[in-house]
Amino acid sequence: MLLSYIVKRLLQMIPLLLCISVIIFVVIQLPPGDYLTTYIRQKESAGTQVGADEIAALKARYGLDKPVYLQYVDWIWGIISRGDFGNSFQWDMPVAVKIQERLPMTLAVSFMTLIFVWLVSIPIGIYSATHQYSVGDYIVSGIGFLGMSVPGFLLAIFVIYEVYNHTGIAISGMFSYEYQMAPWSWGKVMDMLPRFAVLVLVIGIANTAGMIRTFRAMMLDELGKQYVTTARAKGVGEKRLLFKYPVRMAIIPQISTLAGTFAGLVSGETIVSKVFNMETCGPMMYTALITQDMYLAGSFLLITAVMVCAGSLLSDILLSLIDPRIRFGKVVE
Amino acid sequence: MKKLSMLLVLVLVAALLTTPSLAEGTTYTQAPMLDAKVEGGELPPVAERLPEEPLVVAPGVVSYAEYFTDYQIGKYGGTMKSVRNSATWDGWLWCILNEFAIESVSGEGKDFYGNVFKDWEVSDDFTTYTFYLRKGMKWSDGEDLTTEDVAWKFEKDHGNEQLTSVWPTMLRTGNKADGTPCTLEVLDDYSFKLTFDGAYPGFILLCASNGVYDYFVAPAHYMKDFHIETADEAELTAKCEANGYSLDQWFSLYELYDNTAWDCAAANQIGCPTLGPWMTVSMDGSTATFERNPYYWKVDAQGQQLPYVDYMTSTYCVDKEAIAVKILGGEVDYTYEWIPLNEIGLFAQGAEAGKYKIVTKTLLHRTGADLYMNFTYEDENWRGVVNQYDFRAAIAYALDNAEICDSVYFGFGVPGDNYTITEYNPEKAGELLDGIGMTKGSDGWRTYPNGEPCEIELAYSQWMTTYEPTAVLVAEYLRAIGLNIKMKFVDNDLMDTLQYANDLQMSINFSHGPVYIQSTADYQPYKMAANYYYYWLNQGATGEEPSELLGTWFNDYLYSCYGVAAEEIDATHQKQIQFLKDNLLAIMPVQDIVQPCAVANRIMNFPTEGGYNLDDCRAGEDLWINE
Amino acid sequence: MAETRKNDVLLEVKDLKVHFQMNEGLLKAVDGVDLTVREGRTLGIVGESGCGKSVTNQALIGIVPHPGVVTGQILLHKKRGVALEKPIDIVKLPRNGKEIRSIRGGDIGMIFQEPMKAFSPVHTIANQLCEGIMLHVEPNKKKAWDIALHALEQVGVNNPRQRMNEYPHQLSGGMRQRAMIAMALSCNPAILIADEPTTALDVTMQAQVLKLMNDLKREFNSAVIFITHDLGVIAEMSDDVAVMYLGRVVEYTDVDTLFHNPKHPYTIALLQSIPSVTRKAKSELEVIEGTVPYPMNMKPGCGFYSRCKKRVDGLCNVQDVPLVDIGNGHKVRCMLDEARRP
Repeated sequence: MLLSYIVKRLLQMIPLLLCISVIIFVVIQLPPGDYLTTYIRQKESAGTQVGADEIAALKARYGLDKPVYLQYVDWIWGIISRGDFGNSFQWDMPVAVKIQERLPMTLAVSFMTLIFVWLVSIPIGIYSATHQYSVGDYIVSGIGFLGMSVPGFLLAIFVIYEVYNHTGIAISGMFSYEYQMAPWSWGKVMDMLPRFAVLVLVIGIANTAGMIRTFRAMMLDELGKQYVTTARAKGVGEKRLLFKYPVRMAIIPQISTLAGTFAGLVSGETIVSKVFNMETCGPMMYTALITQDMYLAGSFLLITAVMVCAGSLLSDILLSLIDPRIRFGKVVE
Repeated sequence: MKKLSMLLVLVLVAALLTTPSLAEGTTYTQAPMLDAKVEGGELPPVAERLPEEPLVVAPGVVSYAEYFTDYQIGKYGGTMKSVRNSATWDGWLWCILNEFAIESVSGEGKDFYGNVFKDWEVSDDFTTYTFYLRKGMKWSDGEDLTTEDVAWKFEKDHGNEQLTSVWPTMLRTGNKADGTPCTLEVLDDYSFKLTFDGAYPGFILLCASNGVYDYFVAPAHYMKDFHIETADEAELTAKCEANGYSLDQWFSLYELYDNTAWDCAAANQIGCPTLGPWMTVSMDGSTATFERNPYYWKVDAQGQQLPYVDYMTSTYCVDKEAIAVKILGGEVDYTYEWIPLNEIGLFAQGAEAGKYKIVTKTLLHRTGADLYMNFTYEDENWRGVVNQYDFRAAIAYALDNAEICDSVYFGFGVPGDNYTITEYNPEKAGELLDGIGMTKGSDGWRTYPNGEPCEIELAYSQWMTTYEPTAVLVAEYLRAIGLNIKMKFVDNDLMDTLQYANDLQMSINFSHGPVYIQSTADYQPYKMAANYYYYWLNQGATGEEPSELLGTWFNDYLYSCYGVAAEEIDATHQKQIQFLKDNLLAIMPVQDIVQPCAVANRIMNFPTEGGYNLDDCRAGEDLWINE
Repeated sequence: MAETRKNDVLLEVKDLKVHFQMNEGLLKAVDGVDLTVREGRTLGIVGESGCGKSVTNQALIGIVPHPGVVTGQILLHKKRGVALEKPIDIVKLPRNGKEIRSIRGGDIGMIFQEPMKAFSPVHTIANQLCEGIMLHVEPNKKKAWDIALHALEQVGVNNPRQRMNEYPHQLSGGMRQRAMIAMALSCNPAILIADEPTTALDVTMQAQVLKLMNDLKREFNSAVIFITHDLGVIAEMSDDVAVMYLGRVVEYTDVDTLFHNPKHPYTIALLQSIPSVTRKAKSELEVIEGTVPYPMNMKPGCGFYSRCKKRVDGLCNVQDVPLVDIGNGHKVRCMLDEARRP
């Protein structure tokens, strides 16, 4: 039953992703000019003339002399038939290689941020809900609002500034210069950890704040419900009661928005990582979009779309498992 | 007659700079990091790796001697750190690795000397150029550089339609797009001739300003495996497919693996033989590493093989802010053009902590933010006035260049009169406009001579930090003399497109031409008269016929420097600039724009006193690290 | 079960008051409740919505929400069947402390009005039943499971084994109510409070559930507090009845006396308003005029004053009226002589 549900959902995903890929490709093409324009402009401002011969050669090389829909078909067919995402104009390398370089780190960051957000916001949300209108609640809510309103990149800039002022270390990348090219070692991990943590923290804080508010609201909602009173009337202790019932119920909407949360983390990561110059997907995708490095940008966006779809499927499955009233996307009554 | 022409040739050769030579009995020495390889037999000894006559680098060769405050013979070792903002292009490294066939001292377009080529001769009618390679000079993988590589380049590369759809302009007579391509004659292993069907005196200038060695040579022994005519078909197909190409796209693969300094930080450069001081050895996603070229053909005055520094790294930063952070953190040894003028304070503050010093050099290859008036903008009224000198002069008089220099460039520049009228005289401007019939209407704005309202669009982008403030000031000045200016902000990428499409009336943009003698034809004429330019470029196929003024500019002045012998270039250039100024083809309020740079304290032999920042970059091989 | 049943006093409620200090004023939700709960006897509490029945309930097991303040005494005389030397005053127990938690469910069990809402939707029936059992009766999970199963059988749930692993939304309304009863009973509390347990059920269900409760009461000799607004159910189920109005007990007596000899004008009016099978066709129904006032910032005097047909100005609206025993344990809260005559 579960298996057939999953298979059905996966099959549904395919036309959806195809549609998305078309939209992605069209949107990337929309800004005027193309990769060549950026390339030429760059060369000119560096003091080199770009001759007509060079432009013609580049056009042919990047396939930019073909009509747009043909470029799209080439690309999508390459992905489907050979897993070939095309070549990046900027890097002169297969897109797959570039993505592979950065995807593991990105997934690690996003995953850790998700865990961080949950670990922080759930206890605080619970505290806030059970101690409503107390001093603690106001303090936490205040910090929450601040966190929600301060943009992640601003916080990142602030962190860079403060760290530089106090320690002279300028955070601009996941590793310091010495370890950048070194092979993986314990030292490299230790070098990376504080920067990794800072990145997760900054990305997480904005999302944490939002989640605390939602969780608090959900908790307050659930705390007033009858079954909580029943449990209390049975003599269940407050703490146990809290976690077994309202928390469990309040988590459910969080799971159902897992897909959105994850997508939000991936895109939120872009700007913060850009400020910190981290070696994650976000900054690379940003540059790819700006320079109209078509295949690289398109592939990134496609992967994000896949992640959102997969996240959505995952959250539906989880929901079915956790909430017995929902079985495979339908409410059972 | 023949004797006279021979004399002329000799004189010409003698007029060129003679580079220093080594003292008698000097032995060559190499970097310690290569000792093990030589002992182990991997590399031949240094004397065998160098050509018979290596280029000796000392003050006065790459840069003028007076630019150095503290030149010392260097010590070997260390790693220099660079940053880049683009995937595969590193500005500093690009300059360093760009070895030209011929060079001019400090990049100033005079005092030429042989760089990759040892020597050259010019026929008296400037049609035939004989070049001499350095005997014993080798590629970075140890193979000899001979005329076989020249032949390869001209026959299989330039001569192959798929690889080079258009024969390079520089190798056509007069550097003209419709000029006849030159012909190659190989004389022996180390000399060859290029013959043009007409006089082309400016060829040497171009070799020194644009003639990167890969216009003339390519490592035939390496590239033959990538060429459809010489490679094994199965192997070539395999290589193509490995990179996502089909066999009939072999030329894309060829281009990918052909070494160019522009893409020095690209992964496919690894393993391709080069003539530059460092070779790309690894590229791990963000950081490219370059290792010394053991066959580099330059030495210092004491016979030490250059470069001094063993490694260079180039770290990719996603944007300029990240680069700023790295500079402040002391992770960049030389900042090329990364420091914008308006942020000089920030970097000066961080100099002590970041262990660098701030140096202000003159910006070589472009002016600041200039005012272009599009002569071919599609508006009859506009054309009527812009073609009148008085209109343009009025605009020039209306601008307070001194104020622009102070506000936009913080005083780091000169509100000079090289290219424009410096005098600030709004009354005179008003009189001139009245004189051509642009009197003020009832609403206070000037109208066209026929009485129709005059609204002028001033476009600007944020490609350079100076554009917007300049646009704001210019608009203010022009409104003060009664011209109704409408400001139009344009996206960076859109700017070029609109300019090419002849859609802009007035714009703020930079120019290469007046300053950069080595790019004398590149005044980017499409900015000043797009339609005329296309007509001139495509011989009447597109665009519209230039006006008399601009026709003269294109035909007589734009490429004039390529039509004269080396010693006349300076004078010709001055005439060119004078024509520009006399006719105010564009208005350039501030000259001698300054580019601040940060140079790490540990870097020695950096030319800090005067000169242009661009050629500072090229002095890469004689830098050394003092730690 | 042939032995004589003792009717020991299990719970005594004396002058219970629950006041809420709100921004608008002092809300006296419960303002004087006296009850005696005995083993083997059902006490019915009847009254309109808003008379304070539910808050009384909450006070009995100490779950009155903030900012309620509870005064008075709630004395528990027996714990798990063992008579206590000194009765425990539930009012004084620390909120959510260990003691009161052992009383909740263990000594006083609750059955709620809406079984769908009272069960957690994401836990199985077994889980919810076993929760209480493991707290009060049998900590071993397996044994608790068996006890729960047995409880379900006792209440007449069909397919009890299957039901154990199902979720509340998979049971029908009647089943759920039975399961709820099972949940309360499985812990063997001496006192069972049923808060309008049949209001949400249809008439046939109602009859079944009531019968079930009576059977169980007889079997276990439990004391039951039955709260409802339905006089018919009171008649059927109760041994003693307390009539509540505006937070106070206004009449307290055994069920027969209440129906045949009511003394308080409110009780009389209530009984009169029951549509009778024998009344004349098409005659107007008796109503009690007016509505229950909001118990905030009330003036001293009888709470029923505003709607009482027999009210006497100067007598009834001067001071709060005390609950007076008029003989044989029949208590009335009324100033009028005729009400006070036995």
